[in-house]
Amino acid sequence: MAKKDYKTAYFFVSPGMLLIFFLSFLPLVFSLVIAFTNLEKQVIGDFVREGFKVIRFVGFDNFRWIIKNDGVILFKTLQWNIVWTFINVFFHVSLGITLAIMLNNKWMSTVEKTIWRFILILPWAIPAFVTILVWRAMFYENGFINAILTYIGIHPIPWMTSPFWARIAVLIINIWLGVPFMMIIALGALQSIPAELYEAASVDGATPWQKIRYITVPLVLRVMMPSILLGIIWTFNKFDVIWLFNKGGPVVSVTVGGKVYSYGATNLLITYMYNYFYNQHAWNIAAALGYVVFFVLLALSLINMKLQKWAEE
Amino acid sequence: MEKTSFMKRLITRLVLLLFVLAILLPVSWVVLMSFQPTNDVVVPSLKNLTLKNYDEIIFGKPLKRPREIKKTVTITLSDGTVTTTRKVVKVITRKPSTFMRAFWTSVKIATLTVIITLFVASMTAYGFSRYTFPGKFLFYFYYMVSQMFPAMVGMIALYVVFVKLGLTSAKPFLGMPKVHWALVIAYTGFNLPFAVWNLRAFMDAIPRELDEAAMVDGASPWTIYWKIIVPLSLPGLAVTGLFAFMGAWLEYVMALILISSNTLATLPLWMYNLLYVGSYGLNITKFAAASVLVAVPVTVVFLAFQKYLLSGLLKGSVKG
Repeated sequence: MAKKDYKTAYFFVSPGMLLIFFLSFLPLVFSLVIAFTNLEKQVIGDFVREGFKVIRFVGFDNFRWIIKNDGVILFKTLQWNIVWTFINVFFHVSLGITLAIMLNNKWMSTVEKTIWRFILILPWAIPAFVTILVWRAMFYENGFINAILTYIGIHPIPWMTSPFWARIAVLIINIWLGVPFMMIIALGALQSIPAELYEAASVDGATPWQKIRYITVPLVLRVMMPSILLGIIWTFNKFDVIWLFNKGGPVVSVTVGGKVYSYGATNLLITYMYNYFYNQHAWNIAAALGYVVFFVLLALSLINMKLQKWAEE
Repeated sequence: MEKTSFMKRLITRLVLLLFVLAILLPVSWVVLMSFQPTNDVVVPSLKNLTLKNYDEIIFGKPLKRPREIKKTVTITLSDGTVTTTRKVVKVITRKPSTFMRAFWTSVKIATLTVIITLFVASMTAYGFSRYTFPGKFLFYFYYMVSQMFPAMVGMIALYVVFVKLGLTSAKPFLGMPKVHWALVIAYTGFNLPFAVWNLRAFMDAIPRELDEAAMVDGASPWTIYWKIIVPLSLPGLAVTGLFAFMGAWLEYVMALILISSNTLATLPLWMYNLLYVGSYGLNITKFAAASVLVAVPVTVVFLAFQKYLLSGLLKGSVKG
């Protein structure tokens, strides 16, 4: 039974709760407020000099501005964001399960298994900041990967300047980064499958392939569901791969209704938002976009939860 | 159990080997590049390997002409006359190492973040684990919702407040530039919710009978916390501390916003600038050497702790 001494309880939790309130909760609320103000580039200088009195509320103007000016770009970015999430999570989970099944055998010695496992989780263990920059250096147009391609007789590929190939490059990097995590989760899930199931299947004359198809994969997927959901949220908001590879570039243009819209081909919503903050100093627009991202994510999670419930029934 | 055929074993190993090669490709490339003598190498060779890059980033680039630092010294001769002469007191042969400056900056920021996070989070987690009080559910609710927010949303507001408070300046405060304190504050804020969540799970696993026995002996809640709970949750503190450290060690998004001067740069900014400024080949071998230096210690610790790291991560995500 937990104790009911409120005074002591508040003594212990208040430092942490106050810090979380001021450094984590309040900034989220304040960002929401900023989304409804005029705090853009021209106002920032005045704000630094004169303080909060230069800030004015502009209602939903920022959101309206985004829809009107950037609606097309937002839509294109969201499209790629969803494709990006789907392809990544698909490869993370399928390759992760494949590796886990191969490692989870009875004929390999423990030492051999440990060695394989040790190397296979390296992309997860090495700081991503470093590996992404290393990949970037390898993908340079006159860099290592193109040198190898030339050597085996393939034309060099414009990884940094072609929208299509830049997208392939960031996908390769992120798949490389994400497989080990899912492999470890899948290894844990495999161990939770009771051996009797396989024995029963053998008695019924199931082939090894049928056992994997009808016992292993469905059961592993079920145990992995929370981690897969987590993976979807992480991948949807994957900032570092996109930003460190090429800052969301290269730029592509699309003409809709006679108007030309330019945007970064690899940009996700999150890097797109950061661009408004970091490069254009439009703090209000960035904050508004941040909340757009949040609501998209919230909607996706709710749909996912519904789907999961539905799948369980 | 039927015996696994030779073919099946061979194919399994070959497929695994394929994956291993894909994983080791960038790893071995960067390690080899860090030992290359010149910057124009694209495909690293095994000939002419050198430690020059490591030497230069750790101890500074050698100067073309060594600089002598002279000092005016007063000498009293034996006959009592006093003369002054210029004497060489120090010969500087290298430029100061900007890598080491950035390295210590990052060490300082990450260490302070870990200490503050662990101290505050362990107290809070103890309160959550052992007491009930009004408003307790608010934190759980907030934690779940905050997971959904991109970290950048809060950063915008934090930045605005830091600008207003003058926390983006290089002026020293308690022996550290104010802007570095701003980073410590921001990183503590990022790390705290998860640290509390994670530590509470560890403390819940410590049997309550221990507290009760101590209470009967007349121990105060603080004594129970400090003498019983903290020592028993050391593994949890180590894991949580490691998470906090890694969260601050190579964080660059907030640092990029806050820091504009090279002399104030943290380690990730230093590396970022090395690769992003100038064209390919300008700094590639130096960048490779820095990558190895930065990544190896963290990777080793990570591999050693991976079992615990994972359990903490899953506890945080599955529960609730």
